[in-house]
Amino acid sequence: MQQAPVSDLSVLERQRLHFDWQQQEQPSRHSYDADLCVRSLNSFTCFSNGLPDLAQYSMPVASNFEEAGVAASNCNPKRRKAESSPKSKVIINNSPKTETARILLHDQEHLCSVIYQQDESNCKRGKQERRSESRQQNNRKEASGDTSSYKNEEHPKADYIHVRARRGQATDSHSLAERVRELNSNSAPGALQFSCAFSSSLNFYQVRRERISQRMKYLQELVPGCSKITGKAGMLDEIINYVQSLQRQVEFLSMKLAAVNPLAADNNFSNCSMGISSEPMEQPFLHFNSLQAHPCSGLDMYMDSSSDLVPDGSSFVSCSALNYVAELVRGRIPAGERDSSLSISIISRESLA
Amino acid sequence: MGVIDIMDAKGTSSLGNPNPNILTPHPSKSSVAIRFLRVLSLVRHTASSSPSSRACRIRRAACSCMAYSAGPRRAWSRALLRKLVRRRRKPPRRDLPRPAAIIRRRRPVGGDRLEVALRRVVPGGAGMEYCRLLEEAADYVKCLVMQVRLMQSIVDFESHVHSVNKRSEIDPGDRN
Repeated sequence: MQQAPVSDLSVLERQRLHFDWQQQEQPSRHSYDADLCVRSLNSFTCFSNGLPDLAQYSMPVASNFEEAGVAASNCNPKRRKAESSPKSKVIINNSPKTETARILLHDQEHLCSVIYQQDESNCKRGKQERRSESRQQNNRKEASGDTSSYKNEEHPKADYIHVRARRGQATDSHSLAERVRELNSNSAPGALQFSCAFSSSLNFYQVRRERISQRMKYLQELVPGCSKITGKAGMLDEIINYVQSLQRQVEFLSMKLAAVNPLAADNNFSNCSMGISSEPMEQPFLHFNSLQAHPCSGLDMYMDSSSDLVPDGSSFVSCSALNYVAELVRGRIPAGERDSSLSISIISRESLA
Repeated sequence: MGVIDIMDAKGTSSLGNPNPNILTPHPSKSSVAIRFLRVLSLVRHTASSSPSSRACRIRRAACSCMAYSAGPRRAWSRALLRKLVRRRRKPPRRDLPRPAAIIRRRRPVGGDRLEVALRRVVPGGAGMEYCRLLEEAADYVKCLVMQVRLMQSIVDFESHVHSVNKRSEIDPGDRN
């Protein structure tokens, strides 16, 4: 898989996309969905995530191209090659409602070819202008589904199929590949050659439905007791209830934590004074109840309690409490090291366990 | 070993994650634990008026710890932190004029009563599309579960210590 270096982000210069769409003559071509016109892609070139507002690259389609794949052209004029070339860059458009990070994918196996026409006039304009315009155009197109503005421009130029990365999603090549493969597997299964006879809107919604159902399945596994419920509405209901109950639990537990007073059981602690000064201790939070109230805390008391707890295994906190107290006892832990010592103790506890 | 094991088992479960952008591993439990314990000690240490206000503070601390450890990659964590920060700076805070360059995408609203409810429950859910919402909800659920387990273990520990203290109180002769 060939990855474009990040410095190569000026994709505008690098776009030489040549697709010949084999079924150009088909009448239903207007319903072509850019998503599915990509066959297995071996290599990708992609933008980094840091340029979300990069220009959308135009894919005006020869015929009535519906909303999925179109974006404004970039500034470089593209030549349209009649014959298919083995290397073509593909931008796959996932969904019209995604953010505007455009990803260029490089297709080495030329399997599907698409002919787009590029808006010649757009080449002349500035990049910024075109971007905003294209975005508006795109939005308008998405809203209305109208493709007339992209129909049959003067010259068909190099073609692109757009893959939009959703905002926040990684756009590096691996995840892209994954996504495309997912798309591929979602759509026409097993077919390497996407027939452009599908209606674009139908495929787009199919893909989206697939994705949604995947997510729902994942959620179903997360939420206990959801596996019995089959309906989407019931599952959603269950999920919402579960999240609400978790939030309520957090509130309740925080109330409980707040309500625990510093232990008044002073007498219990043996007066094995560790030399722990009476200044308030912030760090021994594991047993902060006692330590706050009583600077001198019995080490053996904690050892006993932790030894009680250890076979119990009820809480990891106990052992780290032990460690921490031990550290505290051995030497005054200087302020800066408290955190690290505690974390080390916890981590060591974890690794031992 | 108790909580950590349970959390580990949960974290490395064999759930197939369909999200293509799960690149970062789930936040480690110890980091959440450390952060939370630190905040908890601070809250307890500062003399506070009433347990209810302390409870509020602890709850906010728990949420913020959760959000911090989830990282800024997640929309819900960002939204949660924003909400918490905003609440902290309660006093008059003018809304910054929104720059014209920000294009607000209109999200589909109110189609499904369940979807709307989900958006309300998950922080930051209002501005996302549906697929994204489900992803964020899954991650949020995972983090919430972890947080609940952590707090529960702390409460258990404390109650245990408390009971041990009580026991030793009853028999003072054993210790001395």
